[in-house]
Amino acid sequence: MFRRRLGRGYHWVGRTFGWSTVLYLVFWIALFVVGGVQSAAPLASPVPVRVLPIALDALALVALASVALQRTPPVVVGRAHAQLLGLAPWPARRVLRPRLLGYFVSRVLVGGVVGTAAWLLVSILFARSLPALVAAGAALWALRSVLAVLVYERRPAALPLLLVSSLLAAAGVASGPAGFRQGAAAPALAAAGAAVFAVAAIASALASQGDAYPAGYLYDATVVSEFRSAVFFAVMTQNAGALRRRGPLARTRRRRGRRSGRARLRLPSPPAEYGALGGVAWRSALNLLRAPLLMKLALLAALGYVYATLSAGVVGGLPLAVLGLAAGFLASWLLGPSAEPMPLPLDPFARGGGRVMPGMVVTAVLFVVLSAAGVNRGGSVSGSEAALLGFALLTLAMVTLEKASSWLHVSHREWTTWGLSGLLSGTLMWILSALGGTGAITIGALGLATFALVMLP
Amino acid sequence: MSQPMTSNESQGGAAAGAEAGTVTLEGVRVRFGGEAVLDEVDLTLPAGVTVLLRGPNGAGKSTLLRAMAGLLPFDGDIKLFGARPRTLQGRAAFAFVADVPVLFEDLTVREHATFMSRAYDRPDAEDAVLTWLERFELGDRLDEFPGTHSRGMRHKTALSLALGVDPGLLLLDEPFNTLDADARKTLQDALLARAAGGAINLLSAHEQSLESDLDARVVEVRGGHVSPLRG
Repeated sequence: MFRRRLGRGYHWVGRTFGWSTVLYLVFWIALFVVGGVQSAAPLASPVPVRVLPIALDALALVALASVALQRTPPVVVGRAHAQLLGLAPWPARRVLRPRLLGYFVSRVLVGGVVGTAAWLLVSILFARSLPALVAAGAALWALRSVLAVLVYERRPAALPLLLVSSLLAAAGVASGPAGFRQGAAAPALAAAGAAVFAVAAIASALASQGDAYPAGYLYDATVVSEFRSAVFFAVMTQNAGALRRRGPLARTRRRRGRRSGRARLRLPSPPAEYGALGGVAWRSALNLLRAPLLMKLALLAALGYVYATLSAGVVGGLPLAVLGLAAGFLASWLLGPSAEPMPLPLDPFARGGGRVMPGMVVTAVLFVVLSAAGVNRGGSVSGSEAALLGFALLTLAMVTLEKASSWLHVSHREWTTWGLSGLLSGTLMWILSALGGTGAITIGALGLATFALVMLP
Repeated sequence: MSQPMTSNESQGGAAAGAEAGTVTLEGVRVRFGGEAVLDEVDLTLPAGVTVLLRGPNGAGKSTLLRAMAGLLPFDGDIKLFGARPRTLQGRAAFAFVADVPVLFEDLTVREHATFMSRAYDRPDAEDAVLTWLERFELGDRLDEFPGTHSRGMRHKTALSLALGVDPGLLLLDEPFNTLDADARKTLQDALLARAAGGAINLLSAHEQSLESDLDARVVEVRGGHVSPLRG
């Protein structure tokens, strides 16, 4: 089947573009790239090296977080696959393996290209040669593609993988500055570790296929006629008594129908004396509680990242402003749902305070735990200072996001809204950093957040 | 947090003045893309009435209700018991049930009752909503999310929330369309009781029989203009 598809693809490219055109373009692009790389010279005054791990971590975070925005299925299931599915007993693993392997390999190659570009940029901006970035880019893209598959298929069984990868990422963040300071990034070791991790991640994703067919592929990737043909085959097979009782299509149908709609996670009602503020906060807390487990773990890992970065001593200046953007993204997940479009008599303080409060509590508790546990990268900022700074940053981001989404009547999950509020919070923190150290930034940010919450509509 | 107006308060005593017991619209105009959908609407609704908005499809009935709920921008003046619709006092004075009911998909039906009672700062409303849900035969579906319910069930939930909060003004956009016979009777009885208690019900509907069933007065909406209150 693979050779047939390859042959069809070869002929299609030849007919559509012409192979001579393709080779001509590839030759000149390669020539330009090689020429550009050879003419690149390091900056006369390189950027301080302590910014390097922060910038790389931020890029990695954005690359991983962008999985949440992905709307297209990782692989497309064609008619042949649908028929194999309909004519069970082909296991899902066997049906999907070739396409998934192709997807992973292509993404690892893309990651390698991104890593190479990062290696080049780092050598220009920071005057450091880090060939290990090629392997790191490939590993990152492998992790990203695995996450994309797991998120798309909504597989809770794969959560340990996410947890392990988050811990590995945190460990990488923690060891970053020390390695860069000593100038010994141990490229061979890093490359070997990244390769092992990438292989393990891909193997885990393939193993997670099990015998359950991921229903989403059928909904999203198969055209209606193909889906109908699969159902038709399934009915025929069922009539013949050949379809297994727990077969893939039966599972698919059960998933579609599995909506009893009963709430499993509940919170006790808020006391009546807390009024609208208590009601809105209760709804926001319910929303956090009922978020998918995968999302909750990712949220905690991302909050841990913010704490680790701040405790490394990144206080003030551009890195803090960039961190504001990450805080804006986190705020979009921590902020409770809006009451729109129902016209309820909620005053701005009850609306804003209630939506922000549970996120503030989660952030405060996590940062206190991390501070008490001594999670610190050995930077110049103490754990408690980092906790206060992170709490102030996220609170400011949540409050500005709440106000922005209410004023603009745009969902707080829209990237324009959280991006705007993240930039605003980061810029405010940057301005505050010019006035003094950690204490001034924390007090100033919390003061601004309180002012906005109480005074602004 | 302002105290919402109850139906009894909405009747307006002598101290509250005549304006506090009524709903008034003066020169209300709503435009969509430069075209006036409602033009120079003047209307006064006294306390203790049920008013039917009648008119062909596209006449502006839903637009009028949405403007009164503060969901559409308008020129002119709308006063709900003395308060404008977008103010806190104004929002506390009414409840609006759209023809396609708006519910919070992240909350179960029971949690809707809790949340609405807190939002309106009316602790007694929680039990009242649950009672209305029982009357609409949704008592065994309280712990389910409304996203899994049919359109009629969602309508019943939205009506229970509005009736349980018991505002001075109830705005209902074609409320009988999706209801079964028992639910129609329940809603009719509820609207009659509210009007007898001094509250105002304003609803759009097409059925001719409702005028007598609800002992209602009628306003004709046609071509963006409304007729005076009759009946």
